[in-house]
Amino acid sequence: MSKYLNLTEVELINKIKRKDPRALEELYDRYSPILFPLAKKIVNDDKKSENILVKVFLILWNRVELFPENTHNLYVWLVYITRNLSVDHLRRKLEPTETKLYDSDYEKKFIIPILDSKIDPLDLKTALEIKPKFDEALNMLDETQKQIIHLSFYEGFTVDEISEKLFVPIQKIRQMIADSVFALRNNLLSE
Amino acid sequence: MTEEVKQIIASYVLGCLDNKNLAQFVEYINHGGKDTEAELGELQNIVSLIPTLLSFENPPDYLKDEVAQKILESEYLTRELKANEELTNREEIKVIESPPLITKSTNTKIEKPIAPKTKKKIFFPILLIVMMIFMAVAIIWFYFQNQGMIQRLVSAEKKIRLKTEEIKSTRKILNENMILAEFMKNQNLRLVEFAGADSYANARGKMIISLEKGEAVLSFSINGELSSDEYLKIWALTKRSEIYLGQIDFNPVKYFYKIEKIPAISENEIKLFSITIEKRRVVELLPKRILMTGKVR
Repeated sequence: MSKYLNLTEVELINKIKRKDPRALEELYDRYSPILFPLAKKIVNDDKKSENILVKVFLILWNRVELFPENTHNLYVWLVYITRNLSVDHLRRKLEPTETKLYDSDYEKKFIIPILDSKIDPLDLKTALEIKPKFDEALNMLDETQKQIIHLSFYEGFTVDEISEKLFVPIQKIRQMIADSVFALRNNLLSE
Repeated sequence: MTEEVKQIIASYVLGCLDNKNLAQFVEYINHGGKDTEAELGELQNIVSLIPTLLSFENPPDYLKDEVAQKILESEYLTRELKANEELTNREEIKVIESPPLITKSTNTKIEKPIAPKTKKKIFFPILLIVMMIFMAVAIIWFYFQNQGMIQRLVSAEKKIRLKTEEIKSTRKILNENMILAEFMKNQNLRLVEFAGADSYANARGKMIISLEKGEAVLSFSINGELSSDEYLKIWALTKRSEIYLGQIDFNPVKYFYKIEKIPAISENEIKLFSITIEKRRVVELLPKRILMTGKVR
């Protein structure tokens, strides 16, 4: 196992592409402690969070070819898959009649993220190193901005829904969403 | 970068685009999406740091096994699908490589073309036609058989009816003649022949009488019928009086009438026998109407 412990995420991904289960196990060991609480935070249910985590690693195993290898950014890919699966679960629970059939096409369109080809590489270790700075950057946002980020990322609200919830016109809320995200970036970069 | 693009990118990285806008944006990114100017990637990196603020938590130990189990299942399914695909492909190849319909022998003689495999296709329609013909023949055969049976039944019924009538008739004749046969056992029988005495009804008859036993059997025919309130009385005329012997109700289908309890009279005293027509309801006193008279022969 020590051999795999020292492998980079990109190396592990390449092994997964060759259907090496030990590579997947290594990634599971690395990522499950952060992805599991993320799913739990969104769906607020242990058992369902477990199911979501299983699904995340199944996607990683079965659809690894969709991972944009050139980005070297497995961290963002896995975080978004977990977040999107969890929010999708919430939506299916709240609007069972309005949700689409979950099939391969749906998964590709709405669960697996499209990463910007110019995105900087980011792995779990680096992300954890940035964590304190990020915490500060987030705390520098005002309460509304924090709320907008929470409602979007964790609660899965759409733009329209946030607009209704905060009693803010839709055009204004779009601007507020953009301001929140860019303010977070600016705060982080200015640290 | 325009404000509008910034807004869409921000909404996308926070995951709050509705499905319609999300699909449009993904389409846009997949086709280049140059307007995002690498800001999309930068914002994706930043937003994905949000979960780092959560407390780390290991999932239950069994979950890793569950992941392994699911992966095994998925691999098995994938292999099955591949195997099926290969099988399908092989079958397609087989179809392509099937032998030509016409083959040439070594002595260049052209053989008969191999018949295409239509036997199975033709067999069932032929079988169906044969079965239908067989059923039609069977139906016709049963129809005629049935008709013959019906005719035979009708004929038998007619015969039975005739025989029944014959039996009835025979029984009737036997019953009638039985009276005569029984009576003929008596001794000193006398035959009385009757001749018509009434101008309105032509009648004639015979009577066999046993004065010793006081019984007689009468047979007669009459041209015409008696009315329902008329009946016949039989009398014996002596020098001194008219002696009543008995009465009968006329029945056109009856051959013999038995008369019993005839009073004891000496044969020598009797001058004449007579049969009179009587009315059941005597409204007024009418002269006696004599139908027949007769003497002992």
